[in-house]
Amino acid sequence: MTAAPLATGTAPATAEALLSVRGLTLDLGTTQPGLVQDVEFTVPKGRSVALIGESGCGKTLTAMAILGLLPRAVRVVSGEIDFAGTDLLTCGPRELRRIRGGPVGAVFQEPMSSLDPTMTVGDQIAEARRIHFKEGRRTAREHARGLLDRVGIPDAKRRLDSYPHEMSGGMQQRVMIAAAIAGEPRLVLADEPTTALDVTIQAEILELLRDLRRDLGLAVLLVTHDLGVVADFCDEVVVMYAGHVVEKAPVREAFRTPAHPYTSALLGSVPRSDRARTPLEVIGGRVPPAGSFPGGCRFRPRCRHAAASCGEPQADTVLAAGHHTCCGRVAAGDLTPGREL
Amino acid sequence: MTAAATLPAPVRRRPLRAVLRRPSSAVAFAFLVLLVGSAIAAPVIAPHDPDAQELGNRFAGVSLSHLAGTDEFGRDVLSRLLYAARIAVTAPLISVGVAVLVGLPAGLWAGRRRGVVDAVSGRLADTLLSLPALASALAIVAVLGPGLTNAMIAVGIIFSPTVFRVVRGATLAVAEETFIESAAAIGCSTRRTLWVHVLPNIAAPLLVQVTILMGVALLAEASLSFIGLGVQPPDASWGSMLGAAYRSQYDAPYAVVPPGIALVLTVLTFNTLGDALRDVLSGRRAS
Amino acid sequence: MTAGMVLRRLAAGVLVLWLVSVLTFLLVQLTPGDPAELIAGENATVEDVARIREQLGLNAPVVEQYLRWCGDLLRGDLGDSLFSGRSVAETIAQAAPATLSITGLAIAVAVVVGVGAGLVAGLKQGSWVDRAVSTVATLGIAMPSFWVAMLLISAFALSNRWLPATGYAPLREGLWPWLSHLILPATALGLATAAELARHTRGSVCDVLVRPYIRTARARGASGFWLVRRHLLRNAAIPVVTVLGLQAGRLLGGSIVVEVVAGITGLGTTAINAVLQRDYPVIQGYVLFSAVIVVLVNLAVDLTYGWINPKVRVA
Repeated sequence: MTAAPLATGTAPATAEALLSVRGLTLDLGTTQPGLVQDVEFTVPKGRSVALIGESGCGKTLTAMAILGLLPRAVRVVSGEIDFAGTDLLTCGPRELRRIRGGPVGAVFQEPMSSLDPTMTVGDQIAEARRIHFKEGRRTAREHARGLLDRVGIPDAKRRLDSYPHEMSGGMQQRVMIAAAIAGEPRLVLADEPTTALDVTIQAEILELLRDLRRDLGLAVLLVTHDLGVVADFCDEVVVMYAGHVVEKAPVREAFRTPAHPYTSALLGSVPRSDRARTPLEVIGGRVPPAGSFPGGCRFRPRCRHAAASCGEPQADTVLAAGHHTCCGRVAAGDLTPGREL
Repeated sequence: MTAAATLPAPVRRRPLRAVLRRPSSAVAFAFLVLLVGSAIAAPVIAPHDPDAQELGNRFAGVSLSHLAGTDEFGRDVLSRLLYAARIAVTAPLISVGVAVLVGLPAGLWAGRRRGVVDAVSGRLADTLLSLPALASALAIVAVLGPGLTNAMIAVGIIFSPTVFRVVRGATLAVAEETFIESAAAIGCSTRRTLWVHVLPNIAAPLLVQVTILMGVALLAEASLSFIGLGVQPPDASWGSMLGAAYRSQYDAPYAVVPPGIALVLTVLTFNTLGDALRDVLSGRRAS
Repeated sequence: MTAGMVLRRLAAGVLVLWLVSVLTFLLVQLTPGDPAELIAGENATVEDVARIREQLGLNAPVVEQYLRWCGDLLRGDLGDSLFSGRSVAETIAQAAPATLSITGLAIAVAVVVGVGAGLVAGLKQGSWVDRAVSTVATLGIAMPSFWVAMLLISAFALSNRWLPATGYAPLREGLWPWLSHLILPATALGLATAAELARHTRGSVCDVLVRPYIRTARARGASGFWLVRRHLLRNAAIPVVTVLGLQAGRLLGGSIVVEVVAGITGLGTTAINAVLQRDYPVIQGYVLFSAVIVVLVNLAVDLTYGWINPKVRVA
């Protein structure tokens, strides 16, 4: 296998990388193994990368580390988070504040609880303008009105003075998105942006995000457990399990030839229209709680292909351009990548 | 006082032990034991007759024969403090007793019967609670006449809506439980259901409330005795001793200290135990 | 808050006041024995007793007495003091400013100190500041306000003559004379409420800080003072305002004893004298007036609540 130039990878960030996370390890400051261990991935400019996995696998923690908003108990052990030349882990609070809400915007799940209930949506959208561009109340409000228009909320002028609880979930999420792009970001972190919404609304929100990406040239890091959303929206996939990145691949390849049993199991648990008659697979067991992660491949106890070698530390292996797996058995040729894995 | 609407958690087997495991409440409990002990043993341990006057020895400072000095009539302050501890223990008990006597049956009744009974008694409780407590106590003392017992009954009446609310809330919450329905289904009478099934379950929030009210009652007693509507001379409570100290402030500026500290420590004790009980009985951990 | 809601609150307030009026009226009726004889005292002549009975209207049937009493009340006539003979309304009007000043100032002290300390403690959870605030608050709740008043007066007005020890100067004599007489008693009175508010504010701040919307605001670049002022304060204030409403009555009642300590002739001292003399009309007037104040304060709190919490406005 030849070492082709990598779109995502362990190699030093190429010129086109906007965000690269290298060797990120987070723990609780105890002797427990890391909540997030040696996580590496890159988000290139203008591209969309999905961070997927079951809940509890460390994907949200990784996103929070990028924003410098980790819970107090969580400690950064090592790693680098390079955003456009700045290491977000070492740059200091002032620089971090400049970046948060400015070049990096964020959309969270459950808009109802993620929007301040005592502040009008207009003020919340205008906030980033006022903080990052030092705009006055009036100018910022004018911008907020434009942004509400942009995210497809009718009657924007009147809606500026609404409170979040006066809006539907879909509208609230549009407000969140408007607030996230108010700071003219180059990267948007979207943490389960559609999870709490009705299915029809989910599609609308994704459509909106796609439009914005195209029009504003945004890079997006989408944190989700919903593979349907990933297929629809993303260029590349980073699969996490129990704090490890187990596979990285262009979205097409990840769906067609998953190279890690966990990815394959995830795919098997999603209903597909072209296989209406196949029963859905269920991944037996659940993600172990942090602190009781097994050594070696952390998926081993739930993996039907587990062998003795899986108890050893697994190396990151490049299978094809931009396609990485950390399954030693796939790397050794014991197993063939594919959906039947 | 927000415990009203929440369902009482099942009482732990040994709530007292759990409470005493906390250092702060262990100290508080020890102080309470000491207080009750010295209240009972006051005639034995008091160095002097609390009412014996030594007019030639007024406002004496600390000495071997008067460990806490003497007051405006030359009476021994330490002995008076010890005797006053009796009032500090019994007076709040009167108030809390009255409050439970009125509030408990009323709360059980309102919580079980609901409807008009509940609405009317609830309104009445809200009204009483909306009045400044001390003002209402004053009005009731006006009717009953001054004196320690009357004053503490007045305070007890003021407390009864609080007890009523706690009991009513707990009764309502317990009544939702299926075991009450099954008790009714197997033919338990309403009264039996209340006493056998409901009461044990509201014991926890009631106990917490009662402990906290003890402290509030002691403060109320002190206030009323301070202004002369509570304990009458020559008897002494810490509040009335503070009143005397206030009147002789120019002669003996430090006389306000000992009764005040006794008061604060005792109230602190009740509050600490109340908070600890609440945490333990509601299954919360020490904050 | 909509007009309908304000009206509903007003109606609830009026209902409370009506119930209070019934209870106050019953005060005289519930007196064991003959109230007129009790009031007149042991050495009174038969004529004295008859006069008092007439003055209290005790000769008429109870219902008629109540209706007449209500009628007078609605015209603002609270009757006359049985001892000074002055109208109760006038007596109260004269004593009220001092009491309301102490109480108002105590609320101000409690809010500034309590909310301030609670906020700092909540923001610096687990630090020594937090522990200090919680210790002081625990102590503050256990200290009788009149004792604190005595200590403060002894320290700042007797040992050091920085402030007047007793008395009251109305506001029209200037801000400083007014404030200098009130600052010690008001601080003493407000201390327990400050402690209570500090505890609630701390709890509320801790609660709000972990809410997702605070994380969102941080993700927008909000931090420090901006975050506290725009996102934290308002949300954290919602439960604290409710507590403040409950404390208003306590402060008004507590002012009775603090007035005695500070040598201020206010409603409290007036009421104490009335109780000692069984001057029923004055007591009734005092209780009713206190109830009106508490109802008004709670109405104000409800309005503030609606202003802080937009969810209440449309509800």
